[in-house]
Amino acid sequence: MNNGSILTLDKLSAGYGTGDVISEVSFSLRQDEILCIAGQSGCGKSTLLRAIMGVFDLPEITGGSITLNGTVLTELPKKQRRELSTRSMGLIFQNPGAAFNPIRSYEKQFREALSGCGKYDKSTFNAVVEEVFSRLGLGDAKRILRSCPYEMSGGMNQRIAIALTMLMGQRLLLADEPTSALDAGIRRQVADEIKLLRDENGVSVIAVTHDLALARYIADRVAIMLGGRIVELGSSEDVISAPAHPYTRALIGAAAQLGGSLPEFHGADFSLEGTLREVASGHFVLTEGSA
Amino acid sequence: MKNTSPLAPRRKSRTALTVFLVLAAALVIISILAPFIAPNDPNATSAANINAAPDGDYPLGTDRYGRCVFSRVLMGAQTSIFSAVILVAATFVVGTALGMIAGWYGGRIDSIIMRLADIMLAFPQMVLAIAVAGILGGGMVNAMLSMGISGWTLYARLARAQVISLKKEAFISAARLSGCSGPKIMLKYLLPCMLGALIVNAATRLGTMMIGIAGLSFLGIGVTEPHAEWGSMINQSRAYMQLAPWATLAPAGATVLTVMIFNCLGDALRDYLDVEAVK
Amino acid sequence: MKPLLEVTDLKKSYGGLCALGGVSLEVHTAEILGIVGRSGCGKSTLLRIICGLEKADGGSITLDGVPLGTHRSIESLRRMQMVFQDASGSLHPRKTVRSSINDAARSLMGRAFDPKLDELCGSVGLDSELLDRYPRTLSGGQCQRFAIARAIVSSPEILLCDEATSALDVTSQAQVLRLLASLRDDRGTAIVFVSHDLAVVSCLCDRIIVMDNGGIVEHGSTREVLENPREDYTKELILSIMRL
Repeated sequence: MNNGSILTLDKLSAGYGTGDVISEVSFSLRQDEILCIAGQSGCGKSTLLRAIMGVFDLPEITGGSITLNGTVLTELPKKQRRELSTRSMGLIFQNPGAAFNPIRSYEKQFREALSGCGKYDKSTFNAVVEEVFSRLGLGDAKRILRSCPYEMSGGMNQRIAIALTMLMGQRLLLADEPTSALDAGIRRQVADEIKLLRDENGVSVIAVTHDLALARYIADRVAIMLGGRIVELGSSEDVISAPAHPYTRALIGAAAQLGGSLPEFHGADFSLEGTLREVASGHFVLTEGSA
Repeated sequence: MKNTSPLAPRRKSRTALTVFLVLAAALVIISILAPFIAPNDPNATSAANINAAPDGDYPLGTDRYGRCVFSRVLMGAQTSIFSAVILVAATFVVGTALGMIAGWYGGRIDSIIMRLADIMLAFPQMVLAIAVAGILGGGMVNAMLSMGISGWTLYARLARAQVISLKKEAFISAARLSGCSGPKIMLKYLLPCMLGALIVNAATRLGTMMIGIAGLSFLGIGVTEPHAEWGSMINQSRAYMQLAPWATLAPAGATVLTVMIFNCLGDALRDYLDVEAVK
Repeated sequence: MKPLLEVTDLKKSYGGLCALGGVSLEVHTAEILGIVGRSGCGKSTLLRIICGLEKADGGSITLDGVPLGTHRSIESLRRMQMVFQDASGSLHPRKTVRSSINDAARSLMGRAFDPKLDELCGSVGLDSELLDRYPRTLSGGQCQRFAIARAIVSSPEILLCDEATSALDVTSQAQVLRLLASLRDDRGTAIVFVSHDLAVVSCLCDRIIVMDNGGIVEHGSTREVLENPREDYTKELILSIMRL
């Protein structure tokens, strides 16, 4: 099962002490893959991401396991797990700049982050940063390094966070609504950079979003979440062009499309009973009844 | 991966708040009932019992005029606590009102009020109090007045800062669009949102004010004899420190205890409201 | 046809920085006008000046041919209301939604709205049980629909929406967009919908204004702007939209 997969979740359940917010979520992320987890607010997608990050006290994992490159994270002691997480996972949050201290220069923060994972080399620091910045088309690296995050726009902060992931050589990027707080005009640029991160550095990405257009644009596979469960999982082509679960269809109908008709969301009650079953090759849908 | 319940800090802060509220309430009740529970007349002198050590009749001994120290400490509580509460309440109301006006209207009104506050803060409080006493004469009211002259600036600054940040919120814009006047928005929309922070500040100031008044009385420009007040009691008994230490230590101990209780109350209140805000 | 709202040559600068450099537009009854542009292009400032929250440096605003000053009468406030981006921040954090809405009704109409509140809730698609909740216990979408309910207590002829759906998730966004369209269709409300998201604007609006650097760069019916954009900035904006 571990063949070519970097991260595997097996029947993961987690919550905040008052019942599970996500229940029995299983999937595996392949090397070099971008997986988008989509759903409306409150569906548990951010909780899932935070459970994988493991750098916060909450949510608490109540069942199942997370395996990263063969190491079962959920069996590690807390401190060790946190260290492993910071070393191997890059984080991007919805609030651009949440990953940085707003009043400390990027240069200092970059140095600290790199020293933290033993990648800091004084003699090559500037050259390496400049190289990465130019690959991302970020412009004058020296000027950016001297500035503080509060001086930069949201889009710029998001892109610099991506640059840092590249520098730290982390193999997995976890992004929580990376483009939702940004201007529509800049979203695509940030999306392009996430793709570049995968293409050039072989970084695997899990991005959580409610924006299906983003999912369609960057993801290889899409998982649709509802009420803490995955209701549909498959290639982005299959899930978005040929949705099989009624909730996926409702979510697609709610997306505003350029020049499209007025979006509509039918918030009917969707059944969350049953198991994920493969309806076509690699396309899983939550179906009632046992397997 | 066991976590402590997220409710734990809330329960803890509530317990602390309850304890200090009860203690503070006890102090206030004792000071109100002081005339009834004092074993002796606090102003009655007795030539036979000058600087007497504590005994059955005088639980904390007597001072240089033979007055009952315990009764005077009890009566002093009334003066100290009530003058501090009145002072804090008055500066709180005036300061908050001026600060809100400055923050809401901005421009010239803001400049005038805040420069006035700066000028008040430029005088050292004790020097100002001595000057006021020199011009208007000593006495409790004048001492409170001189404390109040600079006391309001704290609340004004705090209220102004809060109003300026709240002013940008959408619900304030919406209130303006529904035709609410400035004063109405300040009272009904802004004040309820900032009251918590202001009250916490006022509570922590109670102790400071108490010490201030005691300090002025100690210098002889606050409460004057024969009225019982802790600061003036310490001042008058300190010459007899070696002869009758109880006459100095009792009011000093009472001051420390009261100030500590009110400071802890302020802190507990802040912790409690912080936890509430997070929730 | 005479426009309901006419804005002529509106100017505004902040300490030498030009936010609006002479903007003119008109809005008709029962139409939704979209204003789109990147953040900082002046579109929010324009809206705040139109509803009287900020003062213009120059230019004029007329409602039904009558010029409006900075100080607005209750009468003109009744006719024009606004909805903000920060949905949960639009309602008084320490009051129930019911008393927030009643406060607005009392200020604008001189009486509480209470007897008809259930009906109002229904028209924004919410359960009237939610009225007695505090904003922090409601979702962003629910708050925004209550904010719209509060804005329409006086049945305004014009509703100004400043990024009203930008902070919401797609499902709440779809519901709010439907609600706005139904206000136009059922009540004939004119709506000015400001957003940075051209996809959303194109779904909802009858006409589109594209703004950049404090000025209008393109203006036309939604179809015209999407199919034959004249300005490079508009083309760039259209290209940057990710599609399903």
